Amino acid sequence: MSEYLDLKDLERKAFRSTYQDGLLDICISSVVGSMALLMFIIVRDDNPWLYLVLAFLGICAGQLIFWAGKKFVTLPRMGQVKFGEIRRKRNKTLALILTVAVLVQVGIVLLTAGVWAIPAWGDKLQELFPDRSATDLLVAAVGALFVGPSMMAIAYFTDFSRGYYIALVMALGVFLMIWFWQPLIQVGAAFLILIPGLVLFARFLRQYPLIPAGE
Amino acid sequence: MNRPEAASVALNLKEIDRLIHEPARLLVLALLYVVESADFTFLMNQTGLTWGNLSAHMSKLEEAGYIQVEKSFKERKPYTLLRLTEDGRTAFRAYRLKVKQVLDDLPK
Repeated sequence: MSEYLDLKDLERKAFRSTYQDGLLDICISSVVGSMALLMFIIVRDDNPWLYLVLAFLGICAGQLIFWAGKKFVTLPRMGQVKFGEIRRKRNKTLALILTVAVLVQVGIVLLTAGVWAIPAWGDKLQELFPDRSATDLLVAAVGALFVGPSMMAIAYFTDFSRGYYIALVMALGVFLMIWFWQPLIQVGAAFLILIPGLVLFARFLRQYPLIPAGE
Repeated sequence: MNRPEAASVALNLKEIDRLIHEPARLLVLALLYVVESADFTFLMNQTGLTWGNLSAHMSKLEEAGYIQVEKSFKERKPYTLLRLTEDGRTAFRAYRLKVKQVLDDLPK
């Protein structure tokens, strides 16, 4: 019977079909691009407010594209669906995991800053990581570990298969950006996420033409 | 398969709800079983049925009391929302059990 009518698989396929428009990829790419702009604030001293405003605008643009795309493009073409209790439970679990992850990350950052501020401990850390490249490598690894697993958790709990690819690109982007002190690497990562999103969006428009009302 | 076994399979087959057993309706019901509600366009895309076909199946399922159809207007366009009724949910569960029973009873 399970082969005859696999309800779990049917639900998963129906749920995954909501990602076919590529809008989530486009939205995530705007966040990744904005992360690069925030890094410019640290790397360049010239105009921090400009990068901050641009990063904010980038995130807002991504959210706006996602919202408007869903409302005016996806839903009229694909239709609307409300998923059941299983999805709500998974979303709650994801929210809980992400909250814990963010708290742990904030804790690590505060602890590191605190430890560094204590002269005795700061000296010990200085011994452990004598030159700047070793420190950068550690910070880059920690940064990648902040981003990658969180995105993987999102991908797992939302059945968003491309999320694993995005997690890898984001983690690699953050790692290389910090290690080489080069925000343009993260801009490249944003493009690597954006391009599949745009291709999927174009394919979605072809696959799902607008159905005239009452037809 | 001996005679009593064949008779048992035949009896179980007779008890299968034919309204649900039709492939297109089965798919519609299965989809509505796994989601809370879905609109007409979503079901059309997921099942691959045409507007007329889905509409006809929808009417039969509604007549049987298996699905609830809410018709309204959204931004001046007709909007049809479908959800499984409690009767529909029970009937679908019974159908699954019955089919499983029939398939299990068949000789290997």
